[in-house]
Amino acid sequence: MVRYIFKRIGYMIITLFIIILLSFLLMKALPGSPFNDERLPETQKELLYKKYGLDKPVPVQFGIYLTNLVQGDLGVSFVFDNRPVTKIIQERIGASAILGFQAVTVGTIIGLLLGIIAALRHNTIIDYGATILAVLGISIPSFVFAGFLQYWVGVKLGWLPIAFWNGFEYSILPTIALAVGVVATIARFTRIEMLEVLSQEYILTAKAKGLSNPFIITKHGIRNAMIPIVTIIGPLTVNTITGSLVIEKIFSIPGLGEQFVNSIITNDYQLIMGTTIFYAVLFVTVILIIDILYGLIDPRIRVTGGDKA
Amino acid sequence: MKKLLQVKNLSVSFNTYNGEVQAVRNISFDLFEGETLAIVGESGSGKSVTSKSLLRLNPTETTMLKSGHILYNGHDILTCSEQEIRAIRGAEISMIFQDPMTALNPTMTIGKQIAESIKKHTTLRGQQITNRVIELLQLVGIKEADKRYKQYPHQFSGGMRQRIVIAMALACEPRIIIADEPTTALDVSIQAQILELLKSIQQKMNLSIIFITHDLGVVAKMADRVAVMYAGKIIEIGLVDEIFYHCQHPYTQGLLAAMPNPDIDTDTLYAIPGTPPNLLHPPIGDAFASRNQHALKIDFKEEPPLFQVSDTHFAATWLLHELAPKIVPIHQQLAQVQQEKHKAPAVFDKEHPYLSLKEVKQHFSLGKNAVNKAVDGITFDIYKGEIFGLVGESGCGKSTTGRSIIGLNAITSGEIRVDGRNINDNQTKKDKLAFNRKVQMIFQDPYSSLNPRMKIADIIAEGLAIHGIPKNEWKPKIYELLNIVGLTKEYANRYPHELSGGQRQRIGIARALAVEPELIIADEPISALDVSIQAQIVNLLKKLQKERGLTYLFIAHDLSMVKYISDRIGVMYRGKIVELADSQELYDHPVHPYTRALLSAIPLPDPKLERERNRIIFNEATYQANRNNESESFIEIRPGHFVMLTEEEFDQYQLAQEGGILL
Repeated sequence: MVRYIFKRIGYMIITLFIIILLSFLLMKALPGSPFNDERLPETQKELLYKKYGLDKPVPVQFGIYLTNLVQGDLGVSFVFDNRPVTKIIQERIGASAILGFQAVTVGTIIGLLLGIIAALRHNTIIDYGATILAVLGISIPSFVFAGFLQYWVGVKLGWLPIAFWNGFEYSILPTIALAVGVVATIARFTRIEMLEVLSQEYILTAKAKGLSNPFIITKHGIRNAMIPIVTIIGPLTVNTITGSLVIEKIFSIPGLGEQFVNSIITNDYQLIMGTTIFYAVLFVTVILIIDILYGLIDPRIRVTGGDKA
Repeated sequence: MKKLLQVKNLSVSFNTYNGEVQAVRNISFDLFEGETLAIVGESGSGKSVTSKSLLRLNPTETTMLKSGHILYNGHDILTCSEQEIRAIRGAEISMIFQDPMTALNPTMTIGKQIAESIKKHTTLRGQQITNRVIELLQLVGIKEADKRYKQYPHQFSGGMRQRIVIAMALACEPRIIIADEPTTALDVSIQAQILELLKSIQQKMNLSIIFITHDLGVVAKMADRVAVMYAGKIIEIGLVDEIFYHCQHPYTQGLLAAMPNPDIDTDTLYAIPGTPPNLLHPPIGDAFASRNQHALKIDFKEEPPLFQVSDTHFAATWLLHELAPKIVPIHQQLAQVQQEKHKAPAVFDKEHPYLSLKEVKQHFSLGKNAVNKAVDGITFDIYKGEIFGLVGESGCGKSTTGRSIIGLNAITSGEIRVDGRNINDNQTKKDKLAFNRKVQMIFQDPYSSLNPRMKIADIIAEGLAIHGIPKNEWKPKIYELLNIVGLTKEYANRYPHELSGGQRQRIGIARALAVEPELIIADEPISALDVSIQAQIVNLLKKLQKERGLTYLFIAHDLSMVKYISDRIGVMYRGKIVELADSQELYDHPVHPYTRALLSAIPLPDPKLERERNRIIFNEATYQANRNNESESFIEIRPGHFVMLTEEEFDQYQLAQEGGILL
């Protein structure tokens, strides 16, 4: 198991390097520069280029960037008066982390419940209802849903604030908007997996032992249905975080996503790179954790080299 | 004897999209204390539904209980409360299912799975439960139970898992065990072990067993009484000897006659014609009438009642009516004919074998240092027009051999020649096509080997198209092929799901024949089929061999059927052929300990014989330990009879021969 984790971490580093290289090159290929202001005299511009090392050849720039990166230095923002990128990410991450965590947790729990109920009431109104909800949740984009929530719950009913970030009640609407996709995906998946598991012979065996239905479903059903579901939670988390870029903008939440969108508009190279790398590390870590979890749930993966008798 | 369980007029139907399927139609039987009652029938006969009804385990949404009572210990199982039935399940009546691979929860340790019912039904707690679990595992013959109870199902082999399932069923000392095809998914030697285990436990605990199976050999070995089911009804019930030696119903007689009898040589097997009726619309009268050559007029009009033959023996056939004509039962007719003729051994051209394998090895790499030697140096020839049987247990490499011959795997080393040509020399596409045309394969599972979205005509036509037969010749050719495999041309426009298992296997054969092959590799072609259908397919294969001069490699685990169909047999064990001989010779004088154990493990459909027989046990560990594998070679001990023996074993064999001990 330890060897497996080390191997995975090795792959992670390779993946990250490729992501950094690609985004660096892509960014260099973008037209324009952070100092695109027409009022700026050419001589001033050249000085600024020199100051930030932008006059050097691209491979050299990349080398310098990597060296700094290894030491934990993501450089300084070109736009925000030389503030370090790490500092900006630190300030901004709080709101995004809370929002993402809430959305994934709430979405997963509700999704699981919906899926399990639909499977247990297979081919009844409840099942059809849950399926329709799930399809709607997947097909309606979260920003459409966000606008809908802002209008009805925020403006018409006046129950909850529709923008900014001043406490828990400010996080409710954006969390719901983000969680809808998670709920829908998890519910659909859980339903299919539960139906599959419930038709297995070991469920019948458990029944023949005289166990009660709730016991069979929790002890024998859900754990086995969870195995494939765990694998999709990884990509789903990633999706949710990416989705939060737009949601933060809509709800004017001072999160990382909002900052990221802004930095792209202003060509703030260092900030774009820094945030991209941050997201990349986050994604690869989430996927690694999910893979390890998978092994914990499914003994067939965990126990390697078990002797057969 | 005390009646433990009474089933009275039970009728069960299922709601399907097509309508009501009458799976069980008005059956009644009793179960006595300490006996084994076998319920025999083909798929769809209602035997599994009956057994599940005894614990109310049929799916609640679709099951319709039409009528009946199941009385156990003052309760009616069909109407008692959910609580009452749960107190009976696992504690009083427990169940063993067919497939040990799926009957255990893969994410729970076996110890916990056994402990569940103990916790539910007894007052034992904590360490007491663990002790009980270990005790149970020891009882079913699992070694190092105190360590292994913490392991997960995937760490056990199929046979071990079935033992665990049995331990689970015994956990609360039930009075009745319902075993639903408990050994069908297992190899013969493992099957024999499990059956013996069930028997010994039954004696220790004075259990009653309801044993559901389609295998008459297993019935002869296990049962005290037998109920034969057909089309949702019990058509005959009686003591095991009464059923096997004095059966009255033409269906029972046909089933018994369709089993190959290893002691009798015949050209064709008796096969019950036709297929079982569709229970969406059960036939009027005797359900078996349309397949019965001697059906009376009344059989088509009125359902026969259960006639009493003896105190314990009942059969539902009008033939038992005092006015009915006396007909010699089919199995007795056959026995008389068979005594007379003995077929002369066929003569083959041994100089020019059609298929020849030399030191063929097929190794699969399993990661860095591990290699799976699936086929490890086998050499044999198949002569033109011969049927060569390859037998062995799962994992011995017999299917891999078949796949290597047809070129599905590239062999690791060795040489395969078909009709004198090395198959690896077929460099050009044209050569390859010509080779593919000569060698065709029939697969085991008639359900998954036909594309469900293609019409039968298109499935057969595929082969014609690949091999460049002009389109205008397809239609007559397809009709001709359907005719050859015994189907009418109406089938050309149907889809596979409209066909029964036996019919699909016929399509599989027609597809193989479409390109006029010379060698057919049949990989377990009958093991997924019911007994009466098996005989039909075997007869078809034999007929084709004779009419078209086909050569077969017949791969199977069922030795009695292989013995019947094959001219010569090779026995495979761990990637090697350990014994090879004419089928009669192999059957009469097996030499290799593995072959002898395998032969003695097959249950024969003859209860008297089964009671006397002793199983020869092949102990793999001691066999491997005392052996100098280096000096092993394939020795011809009698003309045409080869055995894989070490020098030492060969010396022993010769000594035994001289001493007059016939091995």
